[in-house]
Amino acid sequence: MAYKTIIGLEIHVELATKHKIFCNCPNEYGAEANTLVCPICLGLPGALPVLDKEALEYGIKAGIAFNGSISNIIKMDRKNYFYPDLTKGYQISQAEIPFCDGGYIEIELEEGTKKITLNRIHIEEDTGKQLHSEDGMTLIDFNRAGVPLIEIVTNPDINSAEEAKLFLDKLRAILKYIGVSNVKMEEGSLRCDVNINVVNTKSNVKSNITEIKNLNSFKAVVKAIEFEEKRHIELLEAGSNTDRETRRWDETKGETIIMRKKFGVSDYRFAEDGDIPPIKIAGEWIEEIRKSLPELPHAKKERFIKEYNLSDYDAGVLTQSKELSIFFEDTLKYIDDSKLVSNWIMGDVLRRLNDDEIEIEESNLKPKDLAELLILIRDGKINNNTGKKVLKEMFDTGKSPETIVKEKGLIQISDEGALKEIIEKVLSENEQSIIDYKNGKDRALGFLVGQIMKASRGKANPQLVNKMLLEIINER
Amino acid sequence: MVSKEDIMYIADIAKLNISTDELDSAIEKFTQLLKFVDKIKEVDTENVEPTYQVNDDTYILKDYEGNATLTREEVLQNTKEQKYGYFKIMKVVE
Repeated sequence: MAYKTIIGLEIHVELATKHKIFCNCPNEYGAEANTLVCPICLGLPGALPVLDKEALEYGIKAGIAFNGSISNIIKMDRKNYFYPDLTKGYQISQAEIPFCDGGYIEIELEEGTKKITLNRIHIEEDTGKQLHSEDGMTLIDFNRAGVPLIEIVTNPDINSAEEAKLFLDKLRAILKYIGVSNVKMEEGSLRCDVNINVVNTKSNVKSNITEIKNLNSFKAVVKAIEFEEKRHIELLEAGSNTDRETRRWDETKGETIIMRKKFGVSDYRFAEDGDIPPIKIAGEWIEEIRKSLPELPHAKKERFIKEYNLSDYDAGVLTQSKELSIFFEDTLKYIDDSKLVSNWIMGDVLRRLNDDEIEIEESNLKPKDLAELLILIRDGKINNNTGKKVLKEMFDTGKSPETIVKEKGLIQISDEGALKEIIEKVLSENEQSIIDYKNGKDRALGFLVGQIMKASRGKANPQLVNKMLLEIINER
Repeated sequence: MVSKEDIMYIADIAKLNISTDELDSAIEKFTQLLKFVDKIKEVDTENVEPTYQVNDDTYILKDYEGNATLTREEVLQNTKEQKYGYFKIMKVVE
């Protein structure tokens, strides 16, 4: 009954270049249908595609960031098949020699780091977009035709839905760091297909590999893998097997549905594209691209641990998104206390972002404001709890902490005379608690502190309250 | 010998119409072609670098600038059917 799941992913990533890969049409998302096309991306007779330098550069950036080895020759091939979204009857892609060979991405599991190796990355053109209408018609928009794509193909090193999710998170973070793609699944700039089968670890019997397409979110990837895992195991248990086929994830039904029997590699009749002669790539250019890459998440994490004395976990979370890591370091420009800043970002800030389902750059919070807030707390002008309330207000309104504190009169009461007055008043109203405390009930003290904080509308300096309360009670 | 089924399959994925009258001659031609390929395969290319193009080193990458898009009217002028600025076709189910 013990089964091992074997998963390989194919990820298509649209590159955020200025132009399409073989022509000078703008590469933009969301324009009106068929307004960003020309004879080349429409595949009109006589049009000559010429490879865009920026597209190749972005691809090479990704290849280097994923630790792959960059080929010194770029060769484009034609992948022949007929489908309405393909203007020429073939897609210009790479078959024999991908521009990037091998590579890997490391994911963090509870039991340690796991290396997911890549088979290859190749570059190709995207196809047009189809809209199927209710009346059995299809509308086609060719704005997407010719948008540069890289296809990242992993080896079957992934063994669970969880690992697939971690892998995709890491892959997306790295692509975002190096700025080669918008990596938005909902806009189709990141698309993922799953190849999956299971093997019975005792009998070594394997199910046939199925490919799952139409996965529109990382959640769908996870759910589709879980669904297929179960389907494969059940078929093997029943003495049957899966078919080698392509299936589509149906989000509403929560299941995979057969699309077609798999088209074999030879069915595509790959042949080199005579329009685009092989291109020799200078080693210096690759070196130049390598040097232009920003600090990658893994290196940044190591630096955060060393430079800011953060835990492995904290550094990992803070460097997961490029924007969050920049926010953290920007905050430190205004307050030199990495532990305090990291605690607040890891706690209240991230909780709020998760609740709102937004990224730090989409929120109202500014690094300088967060630093100001933390300075108010550190200097004892407001207490910790008030700080949390001010932060909430900062998220809601985008106002600076100073303004909020002033407007709401939240400055902490550290004046002993004023505090004494409040404490005396609370004590006189709670004589029983004093007796309880003196009879050894420590809880009574907590209750009194709570009442005092309440009477001060949360503004009393808690350390001072604790100290003074004990003094006053003991005097009685 | 290439089979009738092979020919029909290749014709199908290449969108070629081969009538039953033409089948026998197509089988003959295909078989000849494959024999010819086998003959070429006999050449020992073990230590030979592949040649993709005879005019090496002439290809340059393009640094695209500006844009040269067609107007939507130009794009759609040859299509039989259109709707909302899209090409309109019968739905093709994969």
